[in-house]
Amino acid sequence: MWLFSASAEALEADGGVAQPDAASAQPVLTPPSIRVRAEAEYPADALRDRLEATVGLELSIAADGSVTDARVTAPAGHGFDESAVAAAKKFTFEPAKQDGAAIASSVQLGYEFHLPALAPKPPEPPPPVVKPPEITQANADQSTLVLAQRPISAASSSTVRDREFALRPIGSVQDILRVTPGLVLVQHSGGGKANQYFLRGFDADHGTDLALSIDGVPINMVSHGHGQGFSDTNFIIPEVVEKIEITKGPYFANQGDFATAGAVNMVSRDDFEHSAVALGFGGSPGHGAPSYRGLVIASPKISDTVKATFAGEIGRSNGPFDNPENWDKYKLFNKLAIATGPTSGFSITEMSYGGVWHGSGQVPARAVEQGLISRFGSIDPDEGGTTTRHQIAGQYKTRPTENSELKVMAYLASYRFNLYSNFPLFARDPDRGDEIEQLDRRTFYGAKASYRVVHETKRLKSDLTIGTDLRNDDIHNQILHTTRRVPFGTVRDTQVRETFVGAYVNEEITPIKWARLDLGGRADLVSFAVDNQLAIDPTGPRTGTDGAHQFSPKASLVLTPIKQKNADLDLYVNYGHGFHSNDVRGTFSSPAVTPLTRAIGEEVGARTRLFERWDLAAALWQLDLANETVWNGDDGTTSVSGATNRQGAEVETRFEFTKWLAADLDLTFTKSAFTENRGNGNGLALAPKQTWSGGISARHDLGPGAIRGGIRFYGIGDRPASDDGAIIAKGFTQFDLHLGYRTRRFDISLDVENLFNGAFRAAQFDTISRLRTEPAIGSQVPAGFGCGSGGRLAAGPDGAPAGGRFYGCEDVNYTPAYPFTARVLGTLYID
Amino acid sequence: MKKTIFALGILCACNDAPATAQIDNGYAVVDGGPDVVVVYKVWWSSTLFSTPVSPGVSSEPQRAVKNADYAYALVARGWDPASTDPPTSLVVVRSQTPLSVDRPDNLHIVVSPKSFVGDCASASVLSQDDADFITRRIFPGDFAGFQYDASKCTLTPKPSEAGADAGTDAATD
Repeated sequence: MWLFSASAEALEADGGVAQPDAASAQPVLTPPSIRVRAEAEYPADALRDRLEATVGLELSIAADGSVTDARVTAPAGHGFDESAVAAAKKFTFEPAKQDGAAIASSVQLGYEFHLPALAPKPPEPPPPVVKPPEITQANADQSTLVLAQRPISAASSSTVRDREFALRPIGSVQDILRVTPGLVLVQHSGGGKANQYFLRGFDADHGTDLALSIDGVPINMVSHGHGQGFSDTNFIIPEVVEKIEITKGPYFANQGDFATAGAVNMVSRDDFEHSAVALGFGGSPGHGAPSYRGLVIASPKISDTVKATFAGEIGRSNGPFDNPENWDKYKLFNKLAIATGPTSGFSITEMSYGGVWHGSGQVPARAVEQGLISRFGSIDPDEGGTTTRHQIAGQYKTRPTENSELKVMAYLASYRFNLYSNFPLFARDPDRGDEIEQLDRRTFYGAKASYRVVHETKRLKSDLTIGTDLRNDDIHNQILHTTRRVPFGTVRDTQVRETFVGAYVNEEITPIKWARLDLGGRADLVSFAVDNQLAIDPTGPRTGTDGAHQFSPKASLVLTPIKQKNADLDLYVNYGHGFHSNDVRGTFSSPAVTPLTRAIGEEVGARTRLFERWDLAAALWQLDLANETVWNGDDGTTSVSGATNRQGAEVETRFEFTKWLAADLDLTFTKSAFTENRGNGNGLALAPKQTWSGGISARHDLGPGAIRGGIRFYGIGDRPASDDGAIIAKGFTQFDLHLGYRTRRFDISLDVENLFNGAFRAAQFDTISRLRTEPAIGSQVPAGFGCGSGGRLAAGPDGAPAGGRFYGCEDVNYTPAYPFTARVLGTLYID
Repeated sequence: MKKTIFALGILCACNDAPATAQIDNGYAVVDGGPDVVVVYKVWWSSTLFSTPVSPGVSSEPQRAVKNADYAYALVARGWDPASTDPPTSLVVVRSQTPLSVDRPDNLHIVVSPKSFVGDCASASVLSQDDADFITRRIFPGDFAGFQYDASKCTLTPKPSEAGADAGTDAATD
């Protein structure tokens, strides 16, 4: 089946064969159109495994309309590529014409493989007969101009589809995000809190420099009660994610806030192949009670043009902690997609989530070292929280003309968040402790629209996109002092309204077949109002309104010096400005944060595919951030930090040994430093220096079904936890295992997390804290007192020398990685 | 198959309830007056019990983390827990032995002369070092500006810093 959209690439005249006369003015070009189609054979393995795919193809069409070459531009593996190429070579076209004369041309298209509808159930038990797919021309007037996905513009960009997820341990949507090369996620305090993200030299905390979205709806929260850009993906049912779109760096005009280190957009399914029920449970032997998960998916087949999906999940997770998480949650996903025409349609998606949990916080390394608590212990058992998120989004897409496309989407969301944390422990209030409650209540809504038009002049092909986006957040933030989750004082109480408006233009120019130039620009405006609700708050943010704006130029050059069957090579050069916003409460505080922090990135890279089985990409990049000053949501003050520079190298590779066995490896190396310290060897706290991930996966017939499995690993190297590098956050490598077996009616999988039961630290921070049994703040340090082997005595107020007095211990406070954890999930397909 | 079911049964039999702890005031129940001993505050492991508990009464169980540690308590003799004023005298006591609990059990911390040391009225005395540890580190706010004499279980204002520099023990700690 064809993808009914068109792109400039499809109009591309083959300059080497039939170049229009340069002297002739405004030649009339007519694109090629299909005369005879050939039916692609559905790969047997894929049919058995119930896989679907889209293969990107580029066809060379001779002046007589025959296909002289077919090349895979977006491989799908599993036999899809070969099948699509074989079919495409049998196509014949009505050739492209220039001023009425047939010319050679090339066309890019996406060849979609969809599983056929199952035949009616036979009366007898034998397995149902599955018909091979038919490729039919749904519309006799359809164009062959195929506007598949825009080709990627950076070596570090990619799209990963669900069939890759199926070979990995997937217990949560965070596991899906791990397919992003170079992105390392670790759980943070366990439970329902957002993960800690590491990408391109950023410890992006909960998402400050990584833009996350689903179907274009932003996940990052601006001016969040806990941390800027807080991105809690726990509201997403992993099974509903069809693919993820990955970009790194600030080079893309359609991306705004937070897309500095990178951006990941998850795309949800319109429907499922089958309705299903699933039940899973798992746990860490010797570490408390098991967790369970129940899942229901209903995907009724309504009509060819209407798709409806409902998915619901409930579960409880307990983790390995001495203070069990008791994380109860529910998630809902509802989607209705209606095709209003062959190239237009709209969808409405609703998602809901609620969760309540206890966290174990970040335990001081010295407390574990001294035997006061175990690795899975807790200093404050009241940590944890509750959160809900409800969102509805509508999308509309149409093709006003054959070579243009209009996309519009809008969303509305409600979000509630309460988090109890305690980082200093007993450093500030030695009696009641330093527990705080952070509250975030918000309604946010927004819209995005883009218009893309493709046109071609005599020698130039252009692909123009203009777009705009809008987001508004109405927020009520509070920080309360609490003990045993009971408030006894208000630290901050602020109403915030924050509105972002962005507009962008991107022109993709292809002057010659082997070169493409992307030029773009983006203008962003943020206006905000902060209203301090406290009558007396001398250290808090002032009440006021303000705004800021930024223009961000973008440019990319893509060269394709080699384009052969067994060797493709694309070279990329990228330059772009971007930004992350800061918590606007900080702009009315002293010292003030800038509302928008500019990032400037540069990158060169290459991507190649060899022998149709080996994908290799490499990139060298650097990113300058104007400052790292942030609003500290934990105490409602500003943390001042200077400009930084990050430089790195990335390598990602995937090799397909056979149709059923593949391996991949991603490596990143990053050097991060404050600009003023560049060359002095001073580290930037928590910036990852090296990350690695990879694995080997297989899928093969076995009995009536197919068995699949894989061993994967990911890790991060040692890195400085403090700016001076004296406190070290130790690195780790975690190995995971996935095994699964699927038949037509049943699927069972076993996931093992931390296969070798490594005892390492996940989220880590350099923290000054005081245990209740440690000396009083300001008192003389007793003889022989220490802060553990990896810690040190904290400096005095404002960084002054402590002078022999105790101002807390500075050491790594961490959340332990889960020990050996096994999960079993059984799925029954019911239609 | 039976083995599998057995294994699943063992796994599911684990209770995901947390460990909890509660305070039982084991002092004698008397009808008011100076002999009433109220447990004013208790700290055990990672849990603070800050609601006063009258003799013969137990506190509500609180979430706790499994551990083995001493419990530290302040008892107020002759103080009415209904009073809005804090007690004027406090006695510092510590459990005889480390107390422990595992999930999903509830630890009863019985504060009484039998199970805690340091109440001079029961001829039990803490060392001054132990008392200083409790007054300066565990409950510093309750002893701000005061010096606790472990041998007599009495509070006296610190001569040099009475009323100032709450909660620190700068000279000796």
